[in-house]
Amino acid sequence: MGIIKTLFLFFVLFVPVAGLSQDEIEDPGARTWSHLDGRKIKAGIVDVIDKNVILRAPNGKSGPVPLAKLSKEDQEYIGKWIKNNAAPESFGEPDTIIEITTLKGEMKYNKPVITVYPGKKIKLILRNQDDMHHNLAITKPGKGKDMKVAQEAWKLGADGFAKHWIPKHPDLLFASRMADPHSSATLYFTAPKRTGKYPYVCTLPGHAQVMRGTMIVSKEINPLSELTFTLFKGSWKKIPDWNKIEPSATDHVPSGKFDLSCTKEKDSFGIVFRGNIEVPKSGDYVFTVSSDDGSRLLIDRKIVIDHDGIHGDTPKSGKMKLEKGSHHIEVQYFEGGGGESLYVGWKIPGSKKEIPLSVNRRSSGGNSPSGQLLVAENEARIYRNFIQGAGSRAIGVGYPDGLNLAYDANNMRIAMLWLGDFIDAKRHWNGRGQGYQPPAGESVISGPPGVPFATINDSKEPWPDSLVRKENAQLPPVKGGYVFNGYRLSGEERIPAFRYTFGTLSIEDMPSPQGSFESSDSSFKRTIKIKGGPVKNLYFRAAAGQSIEITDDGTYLIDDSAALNFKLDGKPVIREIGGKKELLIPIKFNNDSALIEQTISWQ
Amino acid sequence: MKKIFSTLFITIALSSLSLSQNPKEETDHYPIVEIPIPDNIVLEVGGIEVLPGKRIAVSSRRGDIYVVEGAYTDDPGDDKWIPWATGLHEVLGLAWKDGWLYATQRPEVTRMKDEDGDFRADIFESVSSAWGINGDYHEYAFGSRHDPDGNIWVVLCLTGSGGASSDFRGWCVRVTPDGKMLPTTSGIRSPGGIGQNHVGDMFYCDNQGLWNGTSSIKPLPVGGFVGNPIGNKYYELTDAIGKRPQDPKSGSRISSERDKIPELVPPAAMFPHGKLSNSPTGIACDTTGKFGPFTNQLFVGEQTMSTVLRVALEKVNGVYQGAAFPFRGRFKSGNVAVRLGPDGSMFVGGTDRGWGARGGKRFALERCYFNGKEPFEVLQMKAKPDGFEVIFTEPIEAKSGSDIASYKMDSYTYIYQSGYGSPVVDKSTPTITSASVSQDKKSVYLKIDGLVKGNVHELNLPGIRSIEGKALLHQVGYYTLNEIPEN
Repeated sequence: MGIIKTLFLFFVLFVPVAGLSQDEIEDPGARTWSHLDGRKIKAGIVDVIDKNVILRAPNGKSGPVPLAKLSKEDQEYIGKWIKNNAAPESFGEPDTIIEITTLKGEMKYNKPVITVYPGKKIKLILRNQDDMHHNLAITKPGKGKDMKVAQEAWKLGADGFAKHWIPKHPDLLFASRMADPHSSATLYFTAPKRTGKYPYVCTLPGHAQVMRGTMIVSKEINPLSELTFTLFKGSWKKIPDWNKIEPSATDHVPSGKFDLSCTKEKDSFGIVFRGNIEVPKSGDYVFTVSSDDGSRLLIDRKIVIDHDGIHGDTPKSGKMKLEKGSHHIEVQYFEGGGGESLYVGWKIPGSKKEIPLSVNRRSSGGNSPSGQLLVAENEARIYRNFIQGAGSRAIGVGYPDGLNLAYDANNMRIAMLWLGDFIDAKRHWNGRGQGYQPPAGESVISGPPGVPFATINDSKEPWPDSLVRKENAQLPPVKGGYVFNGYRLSGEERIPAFRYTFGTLSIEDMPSPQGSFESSDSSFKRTIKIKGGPVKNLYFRAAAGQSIEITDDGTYLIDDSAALNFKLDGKPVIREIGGKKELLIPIKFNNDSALIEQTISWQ
Repeated sequence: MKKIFSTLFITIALSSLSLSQNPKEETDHYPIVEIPIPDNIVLEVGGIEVLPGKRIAVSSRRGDIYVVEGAYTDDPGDDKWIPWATGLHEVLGLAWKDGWLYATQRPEVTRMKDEDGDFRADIFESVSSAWGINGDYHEYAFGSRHDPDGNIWVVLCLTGSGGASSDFRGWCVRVTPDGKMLPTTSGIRSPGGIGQNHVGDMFYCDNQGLWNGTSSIKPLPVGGFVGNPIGNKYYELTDAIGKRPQDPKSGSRISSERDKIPELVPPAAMFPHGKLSNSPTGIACDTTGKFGPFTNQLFVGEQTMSTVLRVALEKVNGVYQGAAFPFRGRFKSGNVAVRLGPDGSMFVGGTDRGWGARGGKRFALERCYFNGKEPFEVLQMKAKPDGFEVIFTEPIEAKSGSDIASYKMDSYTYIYQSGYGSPVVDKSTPTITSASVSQDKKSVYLKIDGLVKGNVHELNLPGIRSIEGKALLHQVGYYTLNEIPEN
């Protein structure tokens, strides 16, 4: 305890001195242990197994020391450590154990990305191999939320150390205690049910700028782990002997998948990716690489695919029998000149679906976005055309940060929301332009079909089809039905607000993108303003699907796609009708007007 | 030797003239100036409108609308391109009214305004979308300027080349200022453009195909049926223009079907396929009086041949008919939109996307103007009970005018059928019995034996000379004789 106290004083004394970096202030080194044989051991605590404590010296050496051989003070410290690192009583056995190591002298976690399954019990061990204290705090999804929490921690000032630099903040979800230098700290938590990207960060003052990562909550677990890349510069016609070339850089791959964007090189370079792949069951696995130029894939250091030489983006596959468990995977790649691309995928035994192991998907020839991909640069990009899933009067909108939607002006609905690339205009902008084009991006959320509002007088009354306008029809089918009035662009990004009438009501629907495609908080805030009421028993159908669940925080999860939140007067109603679930919002008018505020995000 | 040479020269000149174009001499009267398009703009022109303040608006098939400044001058240095609106669905018609720019795009008529003064549209109001579209490329919508009542007329192309799978395909509809849609005329196949004449009557061009033996310009009278019955099932959706007319008999002629089907309106002028036009498009009427001698005549874009035609119509027995003439060739792309500016500048724009064009450029925007040098042309042909009165732009040399050898007339028509196009049929050679030059020497009365009602009367005038001895700039006219006047 003495050390900590001294440290604490040391720290407090120096905090007000401006201009000193945290490194200079806080360099406690490892704890000093007193062996009964008289030795003083400078080391951290890795684990306690049976009656031994595993100690780790700053030089990286570690080994067991019997508890009984240590001083009383040491034993008290260990007792506290065990208590602090034990799972809460109700936790039970973890589903997943994840280890994150801090890298000595680098102010970095060894894993910039971890992936967990929604709702699973996670034991996260932070192994501190640095000479400083570190912790790990996981925040709510959203760009910059980690920094907000870290800034709040800084404000703890003199109390910070005692509080393990964990502040009270609404965005903070889970946090470990501080891990002493060369010691470990364990965090137990249940992974959020909502999929997304959750930042994690070390909240010790000054660390957050560089010491951060992302926890991806996803139903698709990345089988790759510990993926590193080694970059080589040089010009080759064939894959060289990497051992004979001096690498120009090596690092973890931030995306955790095979990914050429980890280098800015475009020509005359080579990359060797190395990592582990978790094989879920024993059997024959088919791997595919598609690369421009040459590539090679090795499992457990045996060549599975040799796709060497200078060539365009062509695929090649190979098969290998693998046992369940972790295997070493290596992908070697080189680029001569011109275009560069690398795709890696695999098929699990019994499945025909090829799952990408690389960030980019396999190029699909004629329909690939290499055609005429429309990009929203600084403003919303509008594309009225035939969009698959949004009908013949579709209004595609690509927003600047990689969020996109397609509005169906036949039935005044948000037909689709998606992430990433907007849409490829190649089909419509060449030749005569026949047919429908799907979104170019991914994670498509489909809105409910049909019209958005209807009067429902009885909970058993189905959502009316009679108001639906077929795309080849001249007019809305019912008098007093829906009529599209157009849209208005506003703000610096020229974002459209769609307008229509339904009977006496005039309605404006403004979806507004939040966050960016890369950040974890990508969502649409949708504001619907209704005027010309009141209308009795009017409902807004926010969702329709096989499953609608409500979480503790009031989020509605629609199938596996959308997560909806509302700010409104009145309570949404989930009903089951015709074997499907519907989420209906009763419209409460305030005089003649009503407002619906809805957030649509990705699960 | 010299004489032989010059005779030979005339022969060669005549044989090329019989191809109906005379580009070199056209340039002497109607120069074309290409308006350079910035490198980053793909301007597959679908619509052009004249805006206040010497600006024009140009719409593209990709759905963009640009406002162009400096388009009225020869100097490309003063051009300024403003990206006024983007993301619309194949805009094939622009109209400016009361501070709003109206665009006819596939799904609707939209009106737009720049409210915040940043020179870009912020408000996009759907005026009417009261017709069907189903994803088929062929379901184009061409829109007019406002008629005197403030309506925009929209011609709706059939589905595919010969189907009607969406409501009111094959119809002309009017969109009223308050957004109502009025079904107006049936019988449309594949329009290429729409425009009004000087008295506000609406016309459109229809392309050769099913029930169109050859391309033509057709009037759009309210309640009329202009020939293609494929969209007539939509009479079920409306009682606005009465009952569905009787279906025409395939393999007949328009003139004989007119006797049975009172609603059937014949083309005002047929454009012989391969000779004059394969794909007529936009229509502009010169009401400025600044575009040479052709005031109140119609100018028609031609996509395939990259030309502009001229049409001089009259009304006989209440039916529009008249002659089509070659006017100007050598545009750089496939002409789609034609618009006359208040100074007599004719803006022509187009593209060859999806349908090839002689011009060769993927897209172009050009200005054609009258340079003040009057061309020697046939101004107009007027039907007479026993022949035609041919009016010229300049007095003619009386001897050439009164010599029947200066003229040659052929008559023919096309089969009115459900199949695609038609060969030339019912060929005859009407006999010119006399040619009388008027006192002012500006017209000739041709007495003709063997006029055929319903036929194209192709008049070639190789021997005609002006009093200055000039040959005609274009020595052919194609008159569609729907009606033969009684007096």
